[in-house]
Amino acid sequence: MPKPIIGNSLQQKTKLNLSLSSALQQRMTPMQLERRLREDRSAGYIEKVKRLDAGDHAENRHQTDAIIEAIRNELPDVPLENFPLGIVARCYLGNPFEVHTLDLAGMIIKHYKDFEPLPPLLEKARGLALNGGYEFIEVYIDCMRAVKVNGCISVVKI
Amino acid sequence: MSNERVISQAYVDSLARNLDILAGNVQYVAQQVVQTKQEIAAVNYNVEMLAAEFREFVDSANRQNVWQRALTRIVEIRQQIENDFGHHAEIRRHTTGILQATDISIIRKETISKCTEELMLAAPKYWLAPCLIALAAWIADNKELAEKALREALRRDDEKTSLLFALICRRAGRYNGCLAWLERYFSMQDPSCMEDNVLVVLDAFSNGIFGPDSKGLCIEKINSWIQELSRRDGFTEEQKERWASVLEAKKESMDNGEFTYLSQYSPTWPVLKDVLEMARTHDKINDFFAHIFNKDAAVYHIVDKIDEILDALVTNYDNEELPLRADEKKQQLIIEEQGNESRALARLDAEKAAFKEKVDFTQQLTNVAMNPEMFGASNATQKLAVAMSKEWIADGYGDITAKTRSKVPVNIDLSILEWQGTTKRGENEAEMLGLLNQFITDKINQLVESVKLEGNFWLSSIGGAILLLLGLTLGFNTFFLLLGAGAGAFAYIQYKNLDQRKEKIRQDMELKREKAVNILKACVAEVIDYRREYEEKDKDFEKVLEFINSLSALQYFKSRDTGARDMAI
Repeated sequence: MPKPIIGNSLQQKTKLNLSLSSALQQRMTPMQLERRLREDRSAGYIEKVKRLDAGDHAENRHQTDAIIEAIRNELPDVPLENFPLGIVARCYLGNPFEVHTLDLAGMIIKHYKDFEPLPPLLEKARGLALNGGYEFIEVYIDCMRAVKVNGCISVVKI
Repeated sequence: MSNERVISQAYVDSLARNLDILAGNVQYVAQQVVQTKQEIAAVNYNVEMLAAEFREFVDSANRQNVWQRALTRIVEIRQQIENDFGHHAEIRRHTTGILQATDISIIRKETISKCTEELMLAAPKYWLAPCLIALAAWIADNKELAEKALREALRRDDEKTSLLFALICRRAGRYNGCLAWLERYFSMQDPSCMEDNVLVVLDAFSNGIFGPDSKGLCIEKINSWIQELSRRDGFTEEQKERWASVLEAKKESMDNGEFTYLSQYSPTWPVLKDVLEMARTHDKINDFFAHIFNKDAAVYHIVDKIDEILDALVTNYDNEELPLRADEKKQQLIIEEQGNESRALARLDAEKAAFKEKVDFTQQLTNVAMNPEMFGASNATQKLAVAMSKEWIADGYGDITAKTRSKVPVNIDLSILEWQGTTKRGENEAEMLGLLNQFITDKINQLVESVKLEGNFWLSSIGGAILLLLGLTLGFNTFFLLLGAGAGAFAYIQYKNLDQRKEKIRQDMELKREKAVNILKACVAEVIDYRREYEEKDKDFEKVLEFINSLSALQYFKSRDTGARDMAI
């Protein structure tokens, strides 16, 4: 069987691009990362994340993917491992729903009722989502970043 | 027995007497030894005194020598300074003199030109000499000469020349020229290593002494310092944290008496208290900033201030003179310290440290914004500093507020007389009352059920029955019959008490029910008040933040004459 020279080189090119991007991302120091994640979020990103409340995402995997894609576009230079673990926001579906979450690891959007516990990592953002007047809360491994309607970020260390 | 020797009593007595004599002699020797020791100690003391006096004499002689040498040396140094840099002092005096003479127009332009040119010839390296020529040429309206002289002055010392002409232009009321020079002066500063006098100039600038910076040239320059420093790792973060801790420290504790029931019956109270205290602090933070920005700026005597800076600039020694001046200072201190060289050197080091202290600009900005009195800054500078730090303040303030908000309990727990309940905003009052009532009813039932006939009752009942039976079988034995009747009566009393005890428990528990219901209602009322107050106070954060974000550095420096704020751009 002849060796697929052209196809092979294309594959190599794709791999090379990926590794370059990865290398660029790795160059971020913790301080650069902190500053990057502190930058204001764009209106488009906020709008997309707010659609978590539309209620039909749980069934619609494509829209879940679209929101995750929006996060990737918002933080393109941030390595994947430094992405938020999830997003928590006040739920406007009405009683009995209180908050909803996007679990980035499980790629699941879920609405939670009063007194219904959130996954342990996201539970700590519940109070902030309910009482802070923020659009939503990005939950990281070491902190929560509360996003205001104008995109401003406030950081709460965990 | 033959080996035994008989010692007579007389011999023993004689031996004892001799021993007494020996003991007396030993005591005498001991006294002599003590006396000798005392004498030796006295001699040692005298020798020590003598040695101390001798050392003092030697030190004094040394100090005298050092002092004498310092006196001689200081004269030599001053002669050398006079020979090498005497013309510098003359130029300094002339600069001040020309400025003052020009103010009152009593010297002819020709006189000024003539004497400055002579001074220029005498000081081939000194930066102030061409400045003086430029100044004289400017007064004489000789543009070409002024520019030539300026070029030379800038070549010799750009920084000092720029500041000098900024001050001279301001003195002459030429604001455009003044700001152009000032911007040049600011451009040459290293924001990470800034001398105190730059901050003095900045203070004067923020007080509008250099005129209105309507184009924002200097503000732009100062902003560029901040940006340059902000690129440093951890710098911005440190400023934000400093502001966060300063603002957080303004939190005032509240009295538990304000929420009497929640403080007693809610395990969540410590957190509730903490977050409400912080929410109430927004008002205090607002007052803190309002106080800064509503305070009238101190009246500045502009010309006096400019002359003060000018005087300091002109009279400060040039770099070439510094080694000799430092030596002169050292000798001066030795003379002041009466030849004590080590003390003089310690003072010299301390003075050097105070003089050489260089600060980081933004560090100083934060210090001034928080504590202007401590750093000798005016109110106008504090306003400028706060306005320039606004991003750090807003971020730090936003972070502590988010931290507080994250702690706000979603559910408030209640614990009333062993009953546990939870509410969010008191909306489930009826449900909680039902649960509490049910809890107390269950408790009553449980307690009533636990009230049972005790061992005494069973003993007296059974015992009584047996005794009665015995009395009957033994042919109506009166003794046993009476005993049996007594035991039966005791058992009956026990049985009757059982109902009374149960009734007592019911009555007590009903009283507790009433009390618990009242407590629950009061707790719910306080929960509603608490949530309302917290939400109201929390809204103040946005007001304060809006105020902080609205600050503009350009807005907060004084215009020159009216003291009004420059609102341009």
